[in-house]
Amino acid sequence: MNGQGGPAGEVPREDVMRARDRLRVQKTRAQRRWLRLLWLLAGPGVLVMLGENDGPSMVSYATTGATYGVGFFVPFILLTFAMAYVVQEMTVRLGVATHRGHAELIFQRFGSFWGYFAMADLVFGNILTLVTEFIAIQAGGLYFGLKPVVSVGAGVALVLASLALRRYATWERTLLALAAGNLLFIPAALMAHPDGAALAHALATWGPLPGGFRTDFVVLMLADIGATVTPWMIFFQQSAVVDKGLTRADLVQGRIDTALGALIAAVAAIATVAAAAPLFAAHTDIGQFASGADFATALQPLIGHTGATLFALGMTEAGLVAAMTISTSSSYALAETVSARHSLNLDFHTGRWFYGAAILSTLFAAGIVLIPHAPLLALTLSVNVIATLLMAPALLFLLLLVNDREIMGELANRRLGNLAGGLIIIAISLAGAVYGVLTVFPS
Amino acid sequence: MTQDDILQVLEPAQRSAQKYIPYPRRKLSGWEVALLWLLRAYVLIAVPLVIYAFVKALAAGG
Repeated sequence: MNGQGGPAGEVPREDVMRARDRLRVQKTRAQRRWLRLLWLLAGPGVLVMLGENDGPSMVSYATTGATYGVGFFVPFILLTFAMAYVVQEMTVRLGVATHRGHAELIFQRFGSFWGYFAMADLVFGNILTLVTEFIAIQAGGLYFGLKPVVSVGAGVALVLASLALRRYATWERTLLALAAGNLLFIPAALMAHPDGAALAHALATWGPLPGGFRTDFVVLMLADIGATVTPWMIFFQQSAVVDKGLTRADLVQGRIDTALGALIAAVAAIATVAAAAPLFAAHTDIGQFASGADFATALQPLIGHTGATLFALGMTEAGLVAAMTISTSSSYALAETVSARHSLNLDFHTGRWFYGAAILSTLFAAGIVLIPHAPLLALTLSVNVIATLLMAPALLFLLLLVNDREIMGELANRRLGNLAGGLIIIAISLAGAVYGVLTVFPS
Repeated sequence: MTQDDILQVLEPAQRSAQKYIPYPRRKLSGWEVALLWLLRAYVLIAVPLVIYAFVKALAAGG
């Protein structure tokens, strides 16, 4: 495949669509309408951060709140989103400097051998995560009395409908509107009447930490890291920045977009911890919970019917938006790997590899969820842990690329960026090692 | 405004004609290869551990 895919001499639809978007940006910049410019250029950062506040992430935050209440994990979650910003800002720079996706850069600069390793990690992580998104959709449906086949079927239909838009800008705005549903966790948290003093105390002291340092604690720590930084985010945001057509001139807005996304997602994540905290106060045993729906059901007598309904709706939305972004991340990466065209501006024929990957992965993940008696909650937490472990090599590829001066020029990483990136790799690897030791030697 | 005029707003590297031309390969240094292998080994050890813990938890629960 040569990546062209269209008749000779014909201007590709992908170029025309992107040029129209860029024309709007150019005019707005000339008029110095800065807020409008930010509105036009924002999207990949907010989407990637709210997309990562997905089904398993919200379950991880709910489990955190129900197990530890409001304490250590509140500032810890803020720290993980700061980490996410550091990582994702690098993908924005890579995108605007090279106009290429992450997978194609790995293949082109490091060769097929390392490229296939990176892809194996991504595909493994993405398929597992996509399964858990449909678990979240199914769980939300169960709360409202919907049969799994109905909620999962509706989820699949919506993912496929989003791909049928065949226009990056429309796809992005549609998903941003859906992703606003992540904020449903905020009113749910307010209905749990969180103690402001306890929140402030947690932020100031990183405590309390009831129960101390145990395997459960390390698992939740890893799950919460996996809830904010995962390999699919790197591949998705870089490709989305390229598909949207961002250039070096748009770097400031790309950074603001990413920071804004991290902030909104962190607030929604902490709200989920606070919303589930009444389960901790009531000493609810969440060990027997089969899915995210059980959190909403158990919360009903504690935060009321409306609060529990918002919680269940938020869980469904989290799964749905993430199913759309993660399947698109797989599409970009697979099409880049086989050097096929990759853009949400493509028609179905030219983008058959691109759309085919998203459709197949979506159908596969949805099918797994419909298997009767599958251990869905246990799977959800384990997937976040695996995502965290896969992040270390993904970050190394990212650091190598972002330090590659031949392709990055003056946008290459500086010492501080490398220090932060290196520390994140070491922290994630150490947390994984502690988890391994506690798993093998639990006593 | 014609289609050609609209296309002028794209940087040359954003046009499909250039975007799909691969970059040349770069040579990884010894320490870079060593780090990549180290983290590969880490993943190959750590992921099975998670799967083991998952299966163990399932067996204990059911």
